[in-house]
Amino acid sequence: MSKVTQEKIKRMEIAGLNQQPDRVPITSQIETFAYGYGGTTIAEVKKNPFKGVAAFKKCYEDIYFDGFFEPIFVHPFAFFDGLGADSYFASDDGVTAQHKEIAPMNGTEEEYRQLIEDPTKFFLDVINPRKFPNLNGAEVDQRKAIVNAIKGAGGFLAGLAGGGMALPILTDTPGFMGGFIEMPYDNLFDFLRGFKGSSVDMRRHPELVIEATEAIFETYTKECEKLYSFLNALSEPPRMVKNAYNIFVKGGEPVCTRFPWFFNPTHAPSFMNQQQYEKFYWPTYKKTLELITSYGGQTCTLLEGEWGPEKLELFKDLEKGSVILYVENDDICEAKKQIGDYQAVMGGLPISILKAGTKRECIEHTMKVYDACAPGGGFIYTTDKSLLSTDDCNPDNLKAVNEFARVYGEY
Amino acid sequence: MEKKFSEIISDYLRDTLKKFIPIFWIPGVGDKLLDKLMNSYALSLAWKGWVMLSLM
Repeated sequence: MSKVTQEKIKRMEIAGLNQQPDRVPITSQIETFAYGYGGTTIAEVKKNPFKGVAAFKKCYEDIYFDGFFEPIFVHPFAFFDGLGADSYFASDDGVTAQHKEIAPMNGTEEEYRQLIEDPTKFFLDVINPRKFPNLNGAEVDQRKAIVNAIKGAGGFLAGLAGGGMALPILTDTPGFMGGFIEMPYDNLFDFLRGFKGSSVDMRRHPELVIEATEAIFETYTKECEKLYSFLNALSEPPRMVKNAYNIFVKGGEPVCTRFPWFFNPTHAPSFMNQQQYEKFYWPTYKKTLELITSYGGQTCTLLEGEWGPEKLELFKDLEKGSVILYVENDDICEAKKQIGDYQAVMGGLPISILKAGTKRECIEHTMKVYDACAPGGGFIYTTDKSLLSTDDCNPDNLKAVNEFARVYGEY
Repeated sequence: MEKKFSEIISDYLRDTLKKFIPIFWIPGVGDKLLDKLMNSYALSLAWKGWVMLSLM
């Protein structure tokens, strides 16, 4: 690992711990934008995942970052193709990733009881066949679908792990995603009941919803995080081997480092009122964040949508410096004022200004946000949303902002 | 009776392991070892990998 990469890691780690590094770190939040920028498409990457890695490499070479989000787009399209699902698809430009809501669980008490009894079995035996057309035929056809899905997942995982190990060496920039978390309630919201169904369930049978999120946390989330923790050790093969032995053979827990961070996009909270949030979301959200802390890891939690100060207040209940709050539509300067003594904040650069603004406007905005958020540390600068389409930002503006920010952000 | 998907994927995995890993071919020992592996915590955890991807 080069000296430059080590310095970037240290900078990111210190800021994430809500302390003051040598300067404000700047991270990428680039997703399929990279494919357009790098001259490839989702269809090409499905066939050859390393084309995706090459496209991301071009981004991280051309634009300055202290840490990158992903080495390849993190949704395995080829896996879903093998199963006949169309939940993820490319837009007409061939680049922009999209997904549609699928709600394969019905909201009956009987289905909730099955989910609560054994979430993994429920996902396999009830949800998988409903979601994937290719898992409904004869056994021989289902086996073919399994093989195709595994092939698709294999190529994707090779790109994810290979890119994750290669890009820090090739671009002198570390990846900051060292794990992934889907919060228990978001599993219900995103993948099982959808927006409408979960809104109805909170009113129709609240106790079942609470029991279901607890069951998902205890028997599913806890185990998934053991698997995701391998991303945290990607750059340290000896720790990866030790963790593999401890997890798979001894049934123990992984040993993680604070950086790279477990990444968690939250989805439901901005659609909940405070009472619903505290009742249905926060309890297992808090437990999951504390689980990662107990591994020695740290979570970067993306607060999608607008949360408001009341919900942010609860992050004061967590160990100081244990999470990074990545703010989307809330005012980051206000969030920093409110929570900055407790947790680090991240974000601040609206993609709308990168897309439509002049370089001068982008830089003036950056100065304003830095003046409010940088003092004392615990601040990481990035776009407020992921870049998915080539139209999402003017790359010249992003280059200019990051070059300016790396100087202006020195302490 | 129609097999559940968890049984189909489990049988597929068992057959695949038996086909490619010679230790499971040993008469009298191979099947016992395979049973042990199929019922192990390590394998139950590995299932979560499939579930995680398929749930996305």
